[in-house]
Amino acid sequence: MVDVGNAVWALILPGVVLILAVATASGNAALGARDRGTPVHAAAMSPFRETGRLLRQQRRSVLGADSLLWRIGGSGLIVAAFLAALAVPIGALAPLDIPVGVVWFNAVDVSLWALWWLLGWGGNSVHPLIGGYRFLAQALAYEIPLMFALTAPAIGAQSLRLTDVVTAQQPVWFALTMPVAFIVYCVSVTAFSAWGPFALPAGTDIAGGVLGELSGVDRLLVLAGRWCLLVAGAAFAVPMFLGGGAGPLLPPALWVLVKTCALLAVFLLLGRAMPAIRPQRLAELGWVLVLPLVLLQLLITSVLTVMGKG
Amino acid sequence: MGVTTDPRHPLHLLLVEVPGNGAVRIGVEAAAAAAGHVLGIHPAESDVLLVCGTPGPELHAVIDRIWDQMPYPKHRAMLTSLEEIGTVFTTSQETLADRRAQRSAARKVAVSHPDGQDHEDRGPDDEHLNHEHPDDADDTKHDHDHDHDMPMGGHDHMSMDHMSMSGPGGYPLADGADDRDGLEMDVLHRRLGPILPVWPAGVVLDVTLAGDTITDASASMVDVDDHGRAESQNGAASALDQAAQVLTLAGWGTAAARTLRARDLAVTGRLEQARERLRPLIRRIERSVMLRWSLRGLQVRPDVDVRTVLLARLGRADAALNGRHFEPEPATLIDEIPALVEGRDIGSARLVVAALTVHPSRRTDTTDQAGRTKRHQHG
Amino acid sequence: MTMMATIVFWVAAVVAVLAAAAVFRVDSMARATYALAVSFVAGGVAVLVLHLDFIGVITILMMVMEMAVMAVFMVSYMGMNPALMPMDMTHSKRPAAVIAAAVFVGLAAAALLIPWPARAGTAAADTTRALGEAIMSSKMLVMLTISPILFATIIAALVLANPRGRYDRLGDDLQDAPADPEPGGIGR
Repeated sequence: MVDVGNAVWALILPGVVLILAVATASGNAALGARDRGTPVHAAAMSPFRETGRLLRQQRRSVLGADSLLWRIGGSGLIVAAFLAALAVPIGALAPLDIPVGVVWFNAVDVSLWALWWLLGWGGNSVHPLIGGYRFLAQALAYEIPLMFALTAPAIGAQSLRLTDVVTAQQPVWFALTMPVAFIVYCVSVTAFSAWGPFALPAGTDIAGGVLGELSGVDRLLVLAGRWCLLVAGAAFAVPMFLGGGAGPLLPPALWVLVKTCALLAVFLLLGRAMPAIRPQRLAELGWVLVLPLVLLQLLITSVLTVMGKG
Repeated sequence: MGVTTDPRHPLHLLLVEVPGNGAVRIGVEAAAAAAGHVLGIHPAESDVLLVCGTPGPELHAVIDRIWDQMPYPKHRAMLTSLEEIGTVFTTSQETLADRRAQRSAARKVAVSHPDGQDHEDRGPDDEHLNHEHPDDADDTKHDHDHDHDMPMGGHDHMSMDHMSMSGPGGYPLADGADDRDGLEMDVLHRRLGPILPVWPAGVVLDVTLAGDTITDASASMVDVDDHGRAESQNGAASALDQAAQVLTLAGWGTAAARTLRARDLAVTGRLEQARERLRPLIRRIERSVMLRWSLRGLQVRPDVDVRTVLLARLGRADAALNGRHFEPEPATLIDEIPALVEGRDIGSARLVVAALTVHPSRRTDTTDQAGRTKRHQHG
Repeated sequence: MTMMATIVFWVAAVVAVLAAAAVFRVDSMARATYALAVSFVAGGVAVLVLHLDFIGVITILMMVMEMAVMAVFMVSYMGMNPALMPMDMTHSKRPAAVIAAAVFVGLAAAALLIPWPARAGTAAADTTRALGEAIMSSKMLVMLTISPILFATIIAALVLANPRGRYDRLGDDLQDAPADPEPGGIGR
């Protein structure tokens, strides 16, 4: 019975992620329109119109581009987002309830290095290339802190399985007991989606960066992939740091949705409020400041876990 | 302006500003925002190529290149005054909606590779492209000639016979040279401008890139002989426009959008509202620690960095809206730009260039032989 | 193994071999690197089929990251050389073929002819833990402490390898502002 439910959920999960991604994009457009003074309701419908327009638009290619790798990079973003979201337990349903759910997410976010680089390099064009390498520069700064931040809930739950991590948060959520790990995780999610202060891989100063040479359905896949990555990252934070489906009144599945949407709203508002960080400034910050803090957080968490155990 | 267009189909406009038509461009942007249209930053994502002003011959050639690079459905328009804007919008939407005409036009365009053109006619991208047709898929097998060879910096490669082999797509592979860290990197020659998002109109910057660091640069203007007097502009609007440029390049979408909103209010004469919106915005930008940290280290003039310029522009706009006197921004000559950008990475260089007011005048007689030679090479 | 697991295993095995062969056939370094990545991922999937979840997923994670980094370095270092052009990646063809054939015959003979013992009892609940204990037994604590030391060693090696030291950056008396071609984020 649960297996059928899992299979069904695995099939409709991409749709759910896409719906949330469209909603987030729509919210972003509406906020932008409110700032700019353009009609808000028209902007809120812009994801749909843009999808239609891009599907009607002609595709482009560039001479000398490695089309196979370029398109793999472009279409891989959305696939990675779906794979990451697959591991999130929704109440009793967990289509991918492997014993190493935490490492699964880590493997997906590592594959983003390959995908963004392919997207930037594959097009044989200077501005996308610079955009791809800007992403790598950002990734160098956030990846190691992210890996350590992901192990913090695993230490707290003494298991790599996501359902165990959820049950270990019964009294207090991990976002409160391991705040540094939570903040590093949230920052890393915005970074691997190239959103907000980390949006320079697709920045205007390099004529759109990795988005530059794309048009038509290729562009649609990358734009959708970026939003879906943000949604998947927010969804994964729910079992890891925000207590999973725990909460009064509503069923667990609904709580997961509510918490995901709340975190997405936070990402949206905070991401818009800040100027972009030039990637070369991040390396020193990530390694000299953030990494020791995360290691300290791990130490504290480990000590607390051992003490709590015996 | 009485622009009424169908809000269900917003246009993606690629605006090209001919030097001297800044007011027209700002007016078009304001009208587009009011109608719900979107400004594109790359030909690949745009539907409509809208030229503000009458382009000279060089700029016209670049615009044709950009037009080729835009995917169908697309439309091209030119306007010289703001009264035409409503018509332009309506015509664009009608043309874009005419799917049959667009499709037949797309099929008629053969694999486009302008051969034999000198590399001055390039826009933001100098790679060729193939539009994918539903019918024939192996257009890539076309033989392309190598007239678009990049100047290899005086490197004599006739002696090495393996250099005659061409790289992917028919381009020769890039040369290598040491960058500032002593690593050998590919040398890429790139032309920034004259058509580039958030870029001073008509300026062309030929850069040599090692990675994304500019190792060598030379600046010029297109159609240098055609520049008339700089037009007198609405002081507040142009100051806000320039401030918004810096904010857009700094990646702060919200602040840039709000600055542009204040600019649109100033342009359409709603000064009271512009004043109200501008004051909290200036406070917020001044107080932003992230902006100060992010823009650190970008010197434009000896004591002046990009953030100072940004705040000065906002202050100037505030003064203009309140009727106070303000000093115009000191202009920078074209020849001074290379010294400011060499050694910087592209992002920093773009910020520095955006913090300049480039003087559009023609070269004076004191720029002698060097000036004329330069003009010959790029013009 | 169940039917599904068998199918997955065989598909993964075939993909691994074909992708590995593709590494030597394709013309571009980036494609060779990612063909290798596909081969490693298929190997990781085969390990997953054996219920070694942690090892399988970690293999996939590490290999994808390594190939992503390797692609960047390959494209960087083989820039002038035809990194994107037809090239022959095989050297010493005759000795290599002989050695490869001999190793294949040897390993195949070992796999097919050794009398592997039948399973006595049931599989452990946590196969990864059982495997770890079987391999490392009493040395597990040593392995755990070695990994942060390895991490610190790598970072220390990078710091030592930097051609510009403190005195280059901060002047002879270490009092000047740091003179870096690209200022870092903190301003150290």
